[in-house]
Amino acid sequence: MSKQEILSWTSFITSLSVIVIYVIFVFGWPAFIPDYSGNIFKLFFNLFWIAVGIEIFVDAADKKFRVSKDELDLLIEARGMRNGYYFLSAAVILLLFQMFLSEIFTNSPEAFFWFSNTKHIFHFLFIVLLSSALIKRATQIYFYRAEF
Amino acid sequence: MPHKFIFTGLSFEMDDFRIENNIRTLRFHHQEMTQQELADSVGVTRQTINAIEAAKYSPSLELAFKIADVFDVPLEEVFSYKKF
Repeated sequence: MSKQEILSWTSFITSLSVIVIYVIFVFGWPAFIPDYSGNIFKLFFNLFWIAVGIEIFVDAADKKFRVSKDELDLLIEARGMRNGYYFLSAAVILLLFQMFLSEIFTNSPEAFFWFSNTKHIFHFLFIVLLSSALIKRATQIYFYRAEF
Repeated sequence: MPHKFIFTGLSFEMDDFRIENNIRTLRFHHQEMTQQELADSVGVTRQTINAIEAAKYSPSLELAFKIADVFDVPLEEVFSYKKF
């Protein structure tokens, strides 16, 4: 496994952990599912620190990897970046469209126009940013494991 | 009949043409050079050499010349563009 592939995995795990922990904290645990929030939080909290530890170790052991990044890594990174960017663009366009609609239909119930609240917009953008990072890393892992 | 182009990132290829290589054979004839040794000589990772050898990835022109230089042969002896 090359250095960049290891870093893709660790970054994927850290992004996923942050999303899960953030969603549990902000939105809480769904009422219709038995409450495992404590266990899930603990699991992803530990995963996050394990991934950070591996990342630091890999960076420290840089000499073990004779070449840290080459042209194939750059190509795979570009493809990951492209997919992440597409997702981010689509999400921002959806947000702008919602804001535009909520300006026109001001008397509609707020539940429909979820993004009319600034706090909700912040949560949405934060989750979208992390998700686009997740998509970037997932794409990279796919190309490392399946394509090349 | 018009050819269909498939965008592969760093190169364009037609669906009935393919870039083939003799890297495996050349490595064998050079004291059974390992993929890692070749990768170190040209400054890429072993995974990249493996992908090139398996024809899953077409290298840049610069890398292709470097590989040919390691084996001390012309480029066309390492890579060929063939119809299949």
